[in-house]
Amino acid sequence: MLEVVQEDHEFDLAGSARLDVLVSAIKPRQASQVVKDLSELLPLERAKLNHLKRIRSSQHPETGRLLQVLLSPPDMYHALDEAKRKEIVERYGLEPTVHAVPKLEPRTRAQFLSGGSAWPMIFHHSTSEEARRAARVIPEQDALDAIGFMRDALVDAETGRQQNGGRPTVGAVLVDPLGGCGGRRGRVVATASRERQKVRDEEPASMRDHPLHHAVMLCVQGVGRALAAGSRQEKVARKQEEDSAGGKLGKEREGKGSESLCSDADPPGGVVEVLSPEQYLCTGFDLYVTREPCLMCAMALVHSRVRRVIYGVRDTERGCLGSVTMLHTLTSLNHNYRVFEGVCADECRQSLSDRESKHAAVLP
Amino acid sequence: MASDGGVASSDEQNAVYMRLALKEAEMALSKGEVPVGCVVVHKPTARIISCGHNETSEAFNATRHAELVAIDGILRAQTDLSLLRECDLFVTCEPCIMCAAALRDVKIKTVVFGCSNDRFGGCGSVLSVHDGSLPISGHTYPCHSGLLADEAIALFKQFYSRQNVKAPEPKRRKMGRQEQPRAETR
Repeated sequence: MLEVVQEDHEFDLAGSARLDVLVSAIKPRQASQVVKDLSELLPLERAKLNHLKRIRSSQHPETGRLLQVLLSPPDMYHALDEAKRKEIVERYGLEPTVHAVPKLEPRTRAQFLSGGSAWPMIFHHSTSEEARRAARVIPEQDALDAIGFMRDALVDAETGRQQNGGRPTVGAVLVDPLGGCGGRRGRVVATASRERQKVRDEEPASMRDHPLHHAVMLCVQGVGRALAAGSRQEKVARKQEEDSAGGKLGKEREGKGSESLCSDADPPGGVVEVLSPEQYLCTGFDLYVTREPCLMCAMALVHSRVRRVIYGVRDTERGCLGSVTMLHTLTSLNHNYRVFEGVCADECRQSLSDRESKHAAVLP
Repeated sequence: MASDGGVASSDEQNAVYMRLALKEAEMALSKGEVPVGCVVVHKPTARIISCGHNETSEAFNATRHAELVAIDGILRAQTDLSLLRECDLFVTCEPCIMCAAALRDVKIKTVVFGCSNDRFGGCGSVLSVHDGSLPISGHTYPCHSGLLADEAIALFKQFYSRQNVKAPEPKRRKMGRQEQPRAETR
């Protein structure tokens, strides 16, 4: 089970990570005033250089201590209003020269140290790659649980294959990791095959081979159905409560939280039919799917706010959580989930058709 | 990025279709849903073969966007989805990334939308799914943006003003699920 993450950015100071900027020597007692003026005239954030310090102090072999100020990239400097530029140049006796600095923020301590020799930088350990990596480690037990739930997804794939007249089918299950009962950690709250069966039983035949009924979409629909059922039950309960009202208001409403999610009505080891309307969409749920989701499904899982997506094998042709693109790393979206791959990879690949397994890449 | 405006020769006709999509969006609004609506027009016959509006709250399913509801409508009416190759979709707001991908899968001919969707838009705003910028093979489609955008935005404003904390409390508003801004389901 390996997390699918964006790789570190290139930090090659001789190549793509290098940026030429203008710097100038200044007199030490001018420093604070220069910094103030430049933060208005040539703000570092406008040049996306917030990771650089404005002033560099170094030792010069002949003149002793040397203080330099970072102005801006040349284009920004030359775009400055002529009169303003002249004024500041004269006031501080600036002599701009070109100097190479790191273009990108340092994400690791090593990058911070190597870049710092070119120009002093700002480095936040808490947002560093090391800190993120440490936060990324998931409990070992989770990885073991994941194998169990991926087996459920494989069973779902096999059920789907039978439903589809022997055609290999992607399997998927949605899991509530906190809703376990009977000794198991977590429980399945929706499966693609159950939902596929519901469509067959309740919808016109023309809905049978719906081209958008991918396993993931069916699971999300399954949770919606269970939530709708929960909402109806609650309304009925509330109605009864109101009807029998009097002094005992709210007496029956105890234990309504996550505990009641695990009701006796659920078949042992089976899939829940009813979810408490306290649950918001798929918040906190984990999706297990035998093959990497496509773009539509990946975005459906963003909308549904799942916690994690765990898939067996990659889909190098259409997969959008690692292969074609990494939708889950788009931080501009209002929700991001973590993605893991390589659970029961061999079994997952075997469950695909010959054509599809050609595009099913197993972890290197 | 999607080009501006519709096809010149059929501007007026397109506006008629978009007004019907806006009607759908109004229906969503009246049910407390995010106001997005759409119609699917079969161009050769000028027939509206399906329509839909957002029903994410009603279905407890954040994927029940207008576009997907309309596609289901086509199938339920026993119509073959291959007809979509000759159909234009008129939708009040830019399709999200999910819908933009789904519309490629069902091979829609053209998409005309009103306002842009800065948070989720899949036809130029966040990603350009429709035009094949991403290395995913298969059908692509052209998009035209901005048709009656102001009217689509006006509906959103109405929706958000109803979410205003100063607005009168609806009956039996509960903590928990409804605390979440439902607007974000789209």
